[in-house]
Amino acid sequence: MPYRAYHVALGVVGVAAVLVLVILRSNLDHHARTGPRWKRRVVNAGLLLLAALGFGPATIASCDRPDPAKSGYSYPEKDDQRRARRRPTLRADKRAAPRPNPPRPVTPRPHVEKRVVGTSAAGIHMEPPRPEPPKPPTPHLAAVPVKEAAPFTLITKSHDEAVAVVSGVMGSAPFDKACKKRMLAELLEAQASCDVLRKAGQVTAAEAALMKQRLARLHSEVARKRPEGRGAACYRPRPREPEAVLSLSRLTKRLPHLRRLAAVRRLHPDVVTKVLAALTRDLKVLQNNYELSRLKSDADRRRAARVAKQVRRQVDRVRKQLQRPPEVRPGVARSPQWKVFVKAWGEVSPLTDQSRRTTSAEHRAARAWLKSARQAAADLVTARLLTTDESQLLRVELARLGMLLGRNRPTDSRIRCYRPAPFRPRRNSKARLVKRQTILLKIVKRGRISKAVRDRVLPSLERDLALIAKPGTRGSRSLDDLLGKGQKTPPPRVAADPFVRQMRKLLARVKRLPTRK
Amino acid sequence: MSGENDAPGRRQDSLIFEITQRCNHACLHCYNAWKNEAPYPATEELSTPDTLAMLDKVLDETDAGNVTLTGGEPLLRPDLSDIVAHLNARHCEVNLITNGTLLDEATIADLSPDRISIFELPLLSCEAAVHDRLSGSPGAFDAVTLAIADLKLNGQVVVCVFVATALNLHTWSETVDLAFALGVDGIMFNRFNPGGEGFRNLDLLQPTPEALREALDVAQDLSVEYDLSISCSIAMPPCLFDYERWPGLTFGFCAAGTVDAYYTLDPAGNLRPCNHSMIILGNVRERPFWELADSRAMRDFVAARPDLCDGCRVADECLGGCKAAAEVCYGRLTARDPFLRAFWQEAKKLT
Repeated sequence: MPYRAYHVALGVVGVAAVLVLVILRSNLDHHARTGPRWKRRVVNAGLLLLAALGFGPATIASCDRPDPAKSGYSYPEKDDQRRARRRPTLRADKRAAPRPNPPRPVTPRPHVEKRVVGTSAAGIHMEPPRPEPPKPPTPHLAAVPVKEAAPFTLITKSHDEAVAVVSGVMGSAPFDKACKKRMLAELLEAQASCDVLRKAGQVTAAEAALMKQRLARLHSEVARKRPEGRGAACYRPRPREPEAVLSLSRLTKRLPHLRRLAAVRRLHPDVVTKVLAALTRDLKVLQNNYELSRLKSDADRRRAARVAKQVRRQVDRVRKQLQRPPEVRPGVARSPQWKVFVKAWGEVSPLTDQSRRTTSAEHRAARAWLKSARQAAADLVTARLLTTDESQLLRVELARLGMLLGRNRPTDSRIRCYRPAPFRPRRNSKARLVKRQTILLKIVKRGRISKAVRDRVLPSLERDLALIAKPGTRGSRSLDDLLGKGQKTPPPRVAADPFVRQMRKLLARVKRLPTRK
Repeated sequence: MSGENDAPGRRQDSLIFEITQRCNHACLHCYNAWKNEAPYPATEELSTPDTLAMLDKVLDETDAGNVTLTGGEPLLRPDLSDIVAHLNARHCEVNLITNGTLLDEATIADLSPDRISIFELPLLSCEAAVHDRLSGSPGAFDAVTLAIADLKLNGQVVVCVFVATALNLHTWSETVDLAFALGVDGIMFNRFNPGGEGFRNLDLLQPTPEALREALDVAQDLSVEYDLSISCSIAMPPCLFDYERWPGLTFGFCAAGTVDAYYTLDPAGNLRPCNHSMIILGNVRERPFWELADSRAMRDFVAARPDLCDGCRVADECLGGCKAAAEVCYGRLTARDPFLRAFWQEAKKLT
């Protein structure tokens, strides 16, 4: 009954409205199709009632035509399309392009009033809405079969739509925010309609409860679905599409950077060589007639030839740069790695003094410091502050410190008497000098040494050299001397030791080497 | 009214497979689930046939067309080539996330041509010392640049990842130059997202929003100048960053609950909502994928929002930042993402 009264009242008001519009000589058809929904409803109801009373044919417009702004199934607004076109070319990547409303599958979308007639890159184009046939006045709910009752139609419509959304077949973001809001509202309304049907005796209480339960579940499922977001793809890399034709501008822009990086030796020469090889291969594309024919115009082809020439010249320059000796950046002494090294040195050195008592804890700490100093020496090479040779020199020094530390055993540990000490100063010094000789020769050949490194290693080098050059030690005497068979005291062996002579000369050259900061 | 979860056509676009937990780097910002304080179940790598069988089952269930192989360091797994070949045979696109140290010429030749869709390598700075420090591995810079050069020489698609931390943001501009000079196809600018080892270094690495904004300004200019794709994949909260300022960049949000979601499998087949999260939904070898994806734990993961987001108009898109980071750092999905937690006073709610 309330339904009938509502429609009768709507019809009466509609007739009044139509009469007013006729008096005002307004376009009835225009009013029936445009404007707010309530207006369209009233005008159409009036026209329908007049038609039923025999006053002319009803001009039924689609009063329920979904307003794209409200229905949720909105398609790209003009602004969105304009924005999409305005994007810079790097957004040419399809996935990176804005997706205000990506095309969605059409078939599993029940009760969507719009008809899709075609798609384009910008979105979906819609056919203009067609007028619907006139609707007969709604009879009393109890008088119609349940399948035709409006509340049941609403239930099935919202149910089917929700199932399509929840199933995932419509994509990751099956609706936009407005559509989600509408669907949730309709699902709530559908739940209320179950009660309406039950009260009208169309369904039993159990059936109504079952439907309500199902709709409630769908409501929560739909609520969980996310509306279309902007780039909802965390961690997804968005690379450019591989370029069919070489980008000339990119090629020319890349080379100055490469040249600069090669100049400061920021990149390993092998890396630069490989990049140059790749560029050279790209250059061949520019010389390939087929590829050139794919360029749009003769002007482009002339430009390609010009660019190829420039690129070849720049590639040659970078190659020449690679052949020059590496220049190490200044500022070793100020670098954090060097500070770590010096700090470690300062911490460990006092513990190598045999007149000092040391503990196991101090030894553990010293070993940790040595480890960090070794790391710092390696890092200085990585940071292009030292050469590998200089770093190796430092590591030899650290090994010496470690050996001296091992000699000075902690006094809080159990002292093992009678254990032969493996420490042989002369042999160790000689071994270290041999190792350093090779490194120093390389440094001398290069012609420069870091001042910080030189100052750090020279005292130790001279100490070792002095030790092996020291005459009159037992080790330097011959067996005959020791057995007392020798008639004369032989001259100190070291005086004639070519190694010591070589090392002295080498050290003198190292001292004369130009230094850098 | 049949169950909608069984509807035909339900699919998941992409999957992440952590094929090993072993790694030869010790990155300061590492977020791997097994690096968190909370214990992660010990997972042994499955044998090659078992691994392939597991992948078959998941791919049959999800119809995923893209599988990202990560770790750990995936190249430490000896059967990587077999796994890639198997995925190729199933017509899956394969992305490989690697630190590049083991990507020598022979390996690249083995993975060429067209077996890997995208190689994703870190380029944390243009300065070797900074890159190596963040990687925890001396020589990492030389190795990764050499790998990139080799890959480009072999015509592969390479995307570099720059993890924006307080230690390397000052080198961002030159790092883009370097990446461009090396010829990479795209750059991912990911803000440091704490978790695992990264959470232990939070104070050292956390950048400020202002520093990130300046870096985005640089990215905007350079992306136009070089015609280079730069994307920000880790969610930058819209309440702290106005995207309109950087129209040339691509911003991503957490994809949980969509077909783009970043479901992650560990070496034993345990499924997690994403590679940052340590919530285990279950094992795909024992239960159907969709049963795990529809589980209560996953629903809670998608639904969780921090209190800060109440009334925000973009809460549905943004999901309140990275809830996985919130969960691994502070134990609750509804906690504030560590970045939001640090700078929430600067945030402007969008109403």
